[in-house]
Amino acid sequence: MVTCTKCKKRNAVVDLGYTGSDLCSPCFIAYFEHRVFKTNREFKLIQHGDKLGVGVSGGKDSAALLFVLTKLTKHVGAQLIPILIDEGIAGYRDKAAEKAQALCDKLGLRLHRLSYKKVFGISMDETVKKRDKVKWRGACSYCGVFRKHALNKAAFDLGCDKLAIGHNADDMAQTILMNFLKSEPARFMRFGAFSGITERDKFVMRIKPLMYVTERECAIYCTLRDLPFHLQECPYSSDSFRGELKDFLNSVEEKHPGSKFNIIKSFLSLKELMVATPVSEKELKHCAKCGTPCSGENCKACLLTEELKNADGRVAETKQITKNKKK
Amino acid sequence: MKVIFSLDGKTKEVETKTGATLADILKAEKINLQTGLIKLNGKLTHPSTELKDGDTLEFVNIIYGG
Repeated sequence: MVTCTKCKKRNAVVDLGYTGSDLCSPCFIAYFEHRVFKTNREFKLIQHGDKLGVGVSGGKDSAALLFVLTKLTKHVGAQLIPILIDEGIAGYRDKAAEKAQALCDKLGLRLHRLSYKKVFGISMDETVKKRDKVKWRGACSYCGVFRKHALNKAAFDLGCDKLAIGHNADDMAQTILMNFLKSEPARFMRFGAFSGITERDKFVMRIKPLMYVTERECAIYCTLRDLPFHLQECPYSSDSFRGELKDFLNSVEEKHPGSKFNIIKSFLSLKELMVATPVSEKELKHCAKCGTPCSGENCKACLLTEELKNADGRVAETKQITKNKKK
Repeated sequence: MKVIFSLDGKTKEVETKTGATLADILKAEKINLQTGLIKLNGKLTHPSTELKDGDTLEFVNIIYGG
């Protein structure tokens, strides 16, 4: 048995490779919460009086986020509003939603729900069926855009000042590498503890209180706190660039503990230096259809839903052309 | 000695040397500890813990969902 390096009394249950410490259950819980509280102080994420939307999915990251925020907001004096976006994936999100509801019941919080069907007129199940008829995209390409849009809409409609999302250190390190490898300097510069456009009408600023805790630590925290969470792979998840980076980073972390945090720290240090140099960015507009801030005439979510709505017509048109050619 | 090892709902018996740890089993099974949680007889346990004959070991994959 390994003894906890912090209290030196109880048996350790967790090894934190990057700190060289082994922690027992109470010491790990205290460590995890301290990391989140410290992140909040460092970036001044949550202020007294904030009405804070919290994106919950029923998964481990958002379960850990919501639970730790109930503690944090008691100290700070802010209101929590859990929001669940239902993508409409039968047999997946419905099960996860049950866990999210159970957690909210446990915490005495009302869970607000909004579905893709209600916002975009189409569920993810329907989107996947229709995507073959238009320009084929991976399911995550639709879902990522739709979820971000729907969460923002729900938070805005509920009058939230900020929206906390469960992005952890793994997500942060992956995104930093992705933006770097795809050469997206504008996205690179916008990325950080605060996400997206920070001051804009109809846009609720996203914050990431879990940016200095890993995905594995979120799962450990939920397990030790006995929080209800759902563990199941999304039926539409596919091998993506992010997935490749996830595997790569986990291999690197195993051999060189602390690498994920070093990527984040290096990025934030670089960003500080780069802010002094003006970065040319396209002037932001508002989507002509839904009013969401975007760089073009329409936002990505409206472009995608319009494309899907026209799917049947396009197929008919394509078939007609083929038929005529045969003649 | 023999231990029961479970991963993604599939269970098998694994033969290992006396004094083997949870980490040894994961290494032999080519599993990266960063991708999940390790439970011994149903409880979250430190990977350096030595196994006993008949122990039940479970690796919970966490690298999906969210």
